[in-house]
Amino acid sequence: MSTPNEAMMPTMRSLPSMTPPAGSPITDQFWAFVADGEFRLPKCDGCDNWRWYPLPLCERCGTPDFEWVLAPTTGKLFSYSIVHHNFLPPSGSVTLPYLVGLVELDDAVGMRFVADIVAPEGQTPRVDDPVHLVMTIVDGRNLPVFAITSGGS
Amino acid sequence: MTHGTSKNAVAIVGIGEIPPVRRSNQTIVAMAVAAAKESLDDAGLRGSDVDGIITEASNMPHDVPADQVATALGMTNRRLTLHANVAGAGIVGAPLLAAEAIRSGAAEVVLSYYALDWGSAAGGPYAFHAGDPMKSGFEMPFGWYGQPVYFAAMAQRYKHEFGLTAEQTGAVALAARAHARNTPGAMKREPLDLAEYVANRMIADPLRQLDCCLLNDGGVAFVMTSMERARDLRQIPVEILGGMVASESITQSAYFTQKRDYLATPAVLSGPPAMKMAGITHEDVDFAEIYDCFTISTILQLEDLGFCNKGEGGAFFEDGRTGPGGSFPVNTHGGLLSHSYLLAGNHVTEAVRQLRGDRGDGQVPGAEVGLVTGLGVPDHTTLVLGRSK
Repeated sequence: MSTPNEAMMPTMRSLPSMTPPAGSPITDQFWAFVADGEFRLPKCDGCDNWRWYPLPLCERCGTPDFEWVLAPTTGKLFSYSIVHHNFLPPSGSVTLPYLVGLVELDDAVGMRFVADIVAPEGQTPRVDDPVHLVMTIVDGRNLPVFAITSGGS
Repeated sequence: MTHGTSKNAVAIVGIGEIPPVRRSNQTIVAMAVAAAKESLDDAGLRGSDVDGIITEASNMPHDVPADQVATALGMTNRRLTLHANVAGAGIVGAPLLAAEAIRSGAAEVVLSYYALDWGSAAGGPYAFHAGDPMKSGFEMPFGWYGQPVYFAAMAQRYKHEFGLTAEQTGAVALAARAHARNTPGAMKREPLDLAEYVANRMIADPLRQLDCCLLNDGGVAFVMTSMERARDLRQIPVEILGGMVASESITQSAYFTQKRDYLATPAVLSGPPAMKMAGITHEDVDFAEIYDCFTISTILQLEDLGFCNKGEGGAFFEDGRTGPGGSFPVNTHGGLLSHSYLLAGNHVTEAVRQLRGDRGDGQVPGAEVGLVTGLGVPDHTTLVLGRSK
């Protein structure tokens, strides 16, 4: 059954604006790289594991250390939701509806990256759509955004 | 299958429940104490009769210190105090720990309680996720925040893999509402039909407001003791036949985004051993109170418990068997969707009422065995209760 809800699609304007809270060295480091225009994720020093979310030891090999490696910039849309309600605290703002999802990055088996998703005008997102990174400026800050590659899956 | 014949049988002998409201002017401690007092009165016990407190570990220790509850109730003989497991898994699992404590002699009479003020507290139910740096750092800035968003993505993936229609998720919500209409004290008792459900406002596609659990304040409590002692008390004892608390090997932080088996819940880990311990099969279960934080999570748990195959849960609800008078009643009080959000502490009290035969218009005829689940990622509890003979 179609409803008025289904007619509301997110647009390029619908990207959340929220200064990531400071306080954890790991998250601070991620956003520092992003501010420099780099999409880096932690990779284990002892094995192939992408440490996501990072813990004191690698859950596979037990190695403590990891390196912030330039991450793959293409992937597939594992899942998503078009969000029609703003749950964010007052420190964040967003135009509704917006599109957020989970991206499985190419060659990064075992992890999923939470990201805002943008679809070409008029295109409905679908699970398994190929996506690619577009570093986007929102309110003067870099935000890693994944765009659905035209034509879809 | 036998009930209450084991020398080591343990029973729930008293229950208490503060009527859930959208916003209470009572403190969370006051609500817990009131529910606990009611459970003692229900059992015909006094505070000095109770020597143990066992409750969940995620919200209760800081919000409702056990020492305050114990002292307020006059628990002059308190010995054992334990907090275990997360949220719904913790409060539904508490009777299992209580049974072991009573069997081992560590306690004779154990009180569990759960109270909630997320209806009135600042930040509501989402706030505790915001306190996790992994979420506030790697999820919130993208708008991945609010439990409905986490579960909506799960539903969207389920839709892709198995199909999921509004009629199917609607069937879960409608059955819960139909049960709530037979339940005094349920928060949502107005009639609900499919057209209203479909027209209901979308929160995070494909979840509508009616797919999401309620928001409220309230409190529940229950008291456990040996079956031998139980027979001298006021109520028909409800035996703890068995159960299991299990945890998936993933962090709470990563559960909603990283888990490998994305469309399963930790019920796959708790369900089979729980039923084995209780000595029951699926056919023995007369009703089930399932942790229905969202319609999708209800569907997933029914599948994970083995009542149907993965992917068939939507159809399971759609054929109407889970509603009042159906062949497999689910959430006979309306659940978290229509009764109240008390993290399935209210599912335990409802199961006890059903097994006592106290539910009036909402009674499942001949109810002898009931199953209760509680979720608190990454933990999950399946609890099996039985009417004593």
